[in-house]
Amino acid sequence: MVESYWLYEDQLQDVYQETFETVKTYVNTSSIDEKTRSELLHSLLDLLLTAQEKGTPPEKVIGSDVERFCKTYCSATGTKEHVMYYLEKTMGVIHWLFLLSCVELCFLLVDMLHGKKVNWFTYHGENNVFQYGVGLLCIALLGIGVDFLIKRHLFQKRKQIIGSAFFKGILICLVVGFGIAVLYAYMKQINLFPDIPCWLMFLLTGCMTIVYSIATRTYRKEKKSYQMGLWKYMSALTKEEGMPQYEKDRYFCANKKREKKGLSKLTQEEYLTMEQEKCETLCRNPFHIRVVLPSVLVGILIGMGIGIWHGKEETCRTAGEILSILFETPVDAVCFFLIILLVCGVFLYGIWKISQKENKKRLFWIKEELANPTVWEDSRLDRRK
Amino acid sequence: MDDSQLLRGVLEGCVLGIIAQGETYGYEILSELEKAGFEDLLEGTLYPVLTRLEKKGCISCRKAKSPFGPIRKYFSITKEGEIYFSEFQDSYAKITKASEYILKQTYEVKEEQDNG
Repeated sequence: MVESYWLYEDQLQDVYQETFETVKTYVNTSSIDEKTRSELLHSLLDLLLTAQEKGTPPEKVIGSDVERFCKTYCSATGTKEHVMYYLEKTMGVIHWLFLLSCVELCFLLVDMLHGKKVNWFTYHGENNVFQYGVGLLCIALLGIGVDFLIKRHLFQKRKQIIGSAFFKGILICLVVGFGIAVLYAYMKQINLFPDIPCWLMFLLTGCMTIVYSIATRTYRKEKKSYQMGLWKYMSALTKEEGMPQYEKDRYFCANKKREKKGLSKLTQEEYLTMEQEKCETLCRNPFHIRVVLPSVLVGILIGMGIGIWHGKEETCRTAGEILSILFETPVDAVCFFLIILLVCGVFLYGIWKISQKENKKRLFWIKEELANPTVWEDSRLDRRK
Repeated sequence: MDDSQLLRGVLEGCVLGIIAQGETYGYEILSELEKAGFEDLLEGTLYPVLTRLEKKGCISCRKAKSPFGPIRKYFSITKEGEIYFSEFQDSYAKITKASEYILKQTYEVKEEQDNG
């Protein structure tokens, strides 16, 4: 998590707190990327805390018109920050598209268990992909419109907007329009969710991911560097306020276990060095890949076996004949296995990324402690009392 | 008269001048500007100026923990900033000299008309 200004918000009092809340709401609902939002709020919080300390009223530093201040403050960010914001939003779309594709894949695996053939590459455009693409674009535009019109203005100008007849009118029109569209589609028996082969959805997801990765490469490096700096700062902060208690408890628990096994106790330095090695190994080589990936492949092979058993009409002798029960063409077979590996890889990568964040924070803290050691005390007994 | 146009022209140079005196941060810059006579200047006006100067490479930014806790940006002038400030000072002196001459002349003509 990049933001940590909330740790100091409580120091603000009365009007300063109110002012910060108003500006914070505006900034958090503006189309600015996460890193820039965090920087803006840190700067503002520091400014208000300094003003509070010196007895300067908030109007003196941000003016009496808070809304005008918010607009100027947020508009200081360049076009690049706004573009990054919308690109960050597309990741949400990519995630949903990927999940939908995985759901399609699950249905396909169930069909395979019943002996149905995979025939992706014999797809001849039976479904209207253009219609699907246009539908996706409309949903994306609707999402952006809702984000801009309702979420941002609703939170930024609560009283004026909610109370206004214009807003109520727009909201009613949107709901009624959506209802009419769904009813019309139902009556005309239009398939709102066309049956698109999942390889196409994976391809679309892949293309969007590649475009996103290329477009945001520099931004992600800057954000990572900012996050590293923040973790370093947070680890230094933790050091000043006392070590995380759970880390100390782990050290004393580890020594207690070693004592029971008749092993010598570890010093703090030895323990931290060991933990550092574990964290670094986890960064380089996530162990769960070695367990999950083979398990999934074995599962798929068993599923294919069941499918072949259900689908076979006569005795098959060669591997090609066996595979032809489940796959229309050899290319379908190759594509199927690649997609299974891709999906497993993506899920494992996602799990690794989530665990990496905490792992890297911990690594920073451990390195800080090794560089500037402190003496730990076992306070578990005291806490139990 | 709306003096925002005039302010926009000189604010960058003034902010750079304050930063040139030594490493400083947002509130301090606002205080210095207020002491100098820029009374209605706000953080909302200052922040875009600082962002522009940073993008131009005139100032560098160092992030550190403030005494209150949040991350504070400390600004210091760069080599390019010193050159830019020097050029600003020359341009400002030139424009001020020319403006003063014209305004002084206009004032003298007006005085003659009032007396005459």
